[in-house]
Amino acid sequence: MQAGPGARRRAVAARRPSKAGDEWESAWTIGLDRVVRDLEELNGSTERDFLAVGERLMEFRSTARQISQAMAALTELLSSAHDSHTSDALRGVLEYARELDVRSVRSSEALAKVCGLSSQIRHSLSGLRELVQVFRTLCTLTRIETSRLGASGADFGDLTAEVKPLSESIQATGEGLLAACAQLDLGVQAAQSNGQELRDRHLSELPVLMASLIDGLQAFQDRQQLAMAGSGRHAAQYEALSQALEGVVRAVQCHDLTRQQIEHVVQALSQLRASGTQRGADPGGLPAEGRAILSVQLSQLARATAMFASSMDSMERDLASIAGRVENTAAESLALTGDGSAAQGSFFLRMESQFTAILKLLGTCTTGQEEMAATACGLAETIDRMRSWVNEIRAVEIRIQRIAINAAIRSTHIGEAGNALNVIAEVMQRLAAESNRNTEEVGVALETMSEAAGCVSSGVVTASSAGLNANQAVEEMRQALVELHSSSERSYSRVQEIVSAGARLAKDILAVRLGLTAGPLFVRVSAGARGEMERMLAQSAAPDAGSVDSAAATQLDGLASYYTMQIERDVHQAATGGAATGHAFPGNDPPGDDICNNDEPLAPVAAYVAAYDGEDLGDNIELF
Amino acid sequence: MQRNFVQSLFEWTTDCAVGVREIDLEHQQLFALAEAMHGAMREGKGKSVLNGTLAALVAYVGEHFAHEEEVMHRIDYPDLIPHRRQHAALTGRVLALQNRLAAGEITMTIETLRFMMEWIECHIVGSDRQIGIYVESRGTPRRTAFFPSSKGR
Repeated sequence: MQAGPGARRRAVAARRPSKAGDEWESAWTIGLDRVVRDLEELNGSTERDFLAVGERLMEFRSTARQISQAMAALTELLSSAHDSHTSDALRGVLEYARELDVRSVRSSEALAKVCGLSSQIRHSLSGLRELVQVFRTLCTLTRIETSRLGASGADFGDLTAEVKPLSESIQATGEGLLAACAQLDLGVQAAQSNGQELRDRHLSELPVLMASLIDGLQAFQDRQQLAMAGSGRHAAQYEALSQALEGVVRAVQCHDLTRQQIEHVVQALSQLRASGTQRGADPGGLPAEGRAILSVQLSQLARATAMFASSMDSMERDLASIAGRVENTAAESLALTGDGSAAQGSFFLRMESQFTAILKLLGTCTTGQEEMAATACGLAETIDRMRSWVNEIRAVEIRIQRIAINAAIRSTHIGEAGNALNVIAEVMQRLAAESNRNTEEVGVALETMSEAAGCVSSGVVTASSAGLNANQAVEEMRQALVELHSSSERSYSRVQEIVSAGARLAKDILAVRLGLTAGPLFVRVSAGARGEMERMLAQSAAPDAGSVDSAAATQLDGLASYYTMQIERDVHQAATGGAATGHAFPGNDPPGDDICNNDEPLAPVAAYVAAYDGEDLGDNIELF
Repeated sequence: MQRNFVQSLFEWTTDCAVGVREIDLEHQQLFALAEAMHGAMREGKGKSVLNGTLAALVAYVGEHFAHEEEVMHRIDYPDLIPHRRQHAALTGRVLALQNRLAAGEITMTIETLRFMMEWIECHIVGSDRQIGIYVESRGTPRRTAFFPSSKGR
C-alpha cells in the first residue's frame, strides 16, 4: 500500500535539514524537499477546491433536474387547466348572456305594453272630472226642480243626497287610478331605462368580453399546443443540462487522475530523497540514476500540468456554455405562456382583467335582474290596487244607475209635473252607463296590463337546464370562473418560479466558473516545481553525462507511458481530445431547438460519459 | 415541509441589500410577504390570502416608508424628494388594490404578485440600494443603525 500524503509529509518534515545542519545535507535534497512539499500542498489544495466545486455542481445538477420536473408538472397543469369544465363554464356564461338578452327584450316589450295600456287607462279616465261636474250640475238641477214641485217632489230629495257623494267617490277613486297610472309610468320608464342600459351596455359588452376571453383562451390553448412540444423539450433540455453538469462533475472527479500523477511524482521524488539519505555518500551531488528519475518525473509533471490545464479549460468552457444555455432556456420558458421579457406576465394579466370584467358583469346582470324583478313585483301590486279601485267605481256606477232608474219611475208617477225630473234621471242614467263603459275599458286594460306585467316577471326568471334557479346558475358560473382564475394564477406562479430558478441557476453556475482558481495555482506551483527540478538537473549534470541521462530518461518515460495509469490516461485523453467534436446530448437526437443547434459543444462531458460507459476507470479514480 | 430551490421565488440575498440594517430587515419582511403570496398562488389559493396580504402591505408601506424617509432625511440624501414620490406612488397602488378588493374584486392575485415583483426589482434593488451606496460614499460604514428611535421599535 502506498503511503498517504500526510505520512509522506511527516517523513519529509522529519528529514528536513536544520539550521545547525547535518553535514550530508546538500542543495539537491533541500530542493527535492521543497518540490515534494509544494506538490503535496498543491494536491491538497486542488482536492479541497474541487471537492467544493464538485459539491456545488452536484447541487446544480439536482436543481436542473428539479426544474425539469417542474417544467413537466407545468405542462400537465396547463393541459388540465382548460378542460371541458372550463368550456362548460364559459359556454354557460355565454348562454346566460344570450338568454338574458332575449328575456330582457321580452321584458322591455312587456313594459312598453304596460306603458301603452297605462296611457289608454288615462285616456279612458280623462272625462272623469267633467262627468262628476255634470253629476253635480244634475244634483243642483234636481234640488231646484224638487223645490219647485214642493210636497209632490219631496221623494226626490234623496236623489241629490245619494248621487252627489257617489259622484265624488267616482272622482276620488278615478283620481287615485290616474295617480297610480302616473306612478306606474314612472316605474315602467325607470325599468325600461335600466333594461335598455343592461342591454346596451352590459349585455352587449358581455359577449364582446366573452369573445375576447375565449380568444384569449384559444390563444392560450394554441400556445399550450406549442408548449406541449416546447415545455417537454425544455424539460429534456434541463435534463440534458443536468447530465452535462453531471459530466462536468465527473470531469472534476477526474482531477483525481492528475492528483495521483502528482502523487506518483511525489512518491518517486521522496524515494529518491530517501535513497540519498541512506547512502549518505556524495552529499553534494545527485546520483546518476537520480538524474534519470528526476528527468522522468519532470516529464510526468509537465504532462500532468498540460492535462490539468486542458481539463480546466474544457471545464470552464463547459460551465460558461451550460450557464448560457440555462439562461436561454429560462427565457424561453417565460415565452411559453407569456409575452416575453418586455411584458412579463402580460398574457396572464390580460386574462385576469378579463376574468374580473366578466365577474363584474355577471354581478351587474344579477343586480339588473333583481331590479327588474322588483319592478315586476311593484307593477303587479299597483295593478291589483287599480283593479280594486275599478271595482269600486263599477259598484258606484251601478248604484247611480239604480238611483236614476228609481227617480225616472217616480217622476213618471207624478205625471207631467215630473217631466223635468224624468229628463234629469235619464241623463244621469246615460252618464252612469257611459262611465261604466269607460270603466269596463279600464278593467280590460288592467287585465292586459296584468298579463304584460307577468311577461316582465318571466323575463327575469332564468331556469337553467339543470333546473336550478337563476341565482344558483349564476353562482355556479361565477364559481367556475373563479376556479379558472385560480388555475391561471397557479400556472403563472409556476412559470415565474421556473424562470427565476433558471436565472438563478445560470448565475450560480457562472459564479462557480469565475471562482475556479485551481488552474492558475496548479500552473504556478507546477512551473515552480519543474523549475527547481530543472535547476537540480542542471547543477548535478556531469559534463559527459547529458546524453546518457537523456537516453535513460526517454527510455523510462516510454515505459511510464505504457505502465503508469495507462487506463486513466486514456480516459483523460479521450476527454480532452474530444472537446472539438463531441455532442452535448449523448444518446439522444437533438430536439432541433436552439440549444442543440448551438454550435458550441459540451464535448468533454460527452467524451467522459462515453469513456465511462464501460466503467473502465481503473481503481485509482475516486468518485464523490 | 421545506420547499425546494425551484419553488422559492422571493429570496432576499445580499444582492438586494441596501446596507442599512434596519431597512434591510424591513425589506426582508416584504420578501417574506411576497413569498407567502406566491406560495399560496402556486397552490391556487391566492385569493384566500389576498385580503391579509394587502392589509399587511398597507401597514407595511405606512411604517417602512416612514423609516426609510427618516433615514434619508438624516443623511441628507440628495434624492429624497424623487424617492418620496416613488413611495407615494407605491402607497397609492397598494391602497388602490385594497379598495378594489373591498369593492368585491377578488381576481387580482396575479396583478398583486406582479406588483410586488416590480416593487422589489425596481424600487428595492433599483432605488433603495442607492441609499446604501450614498451612505458608503460619505464614508459612513454601512450596516450602521440610522433609526434614532429603533430601540423602541
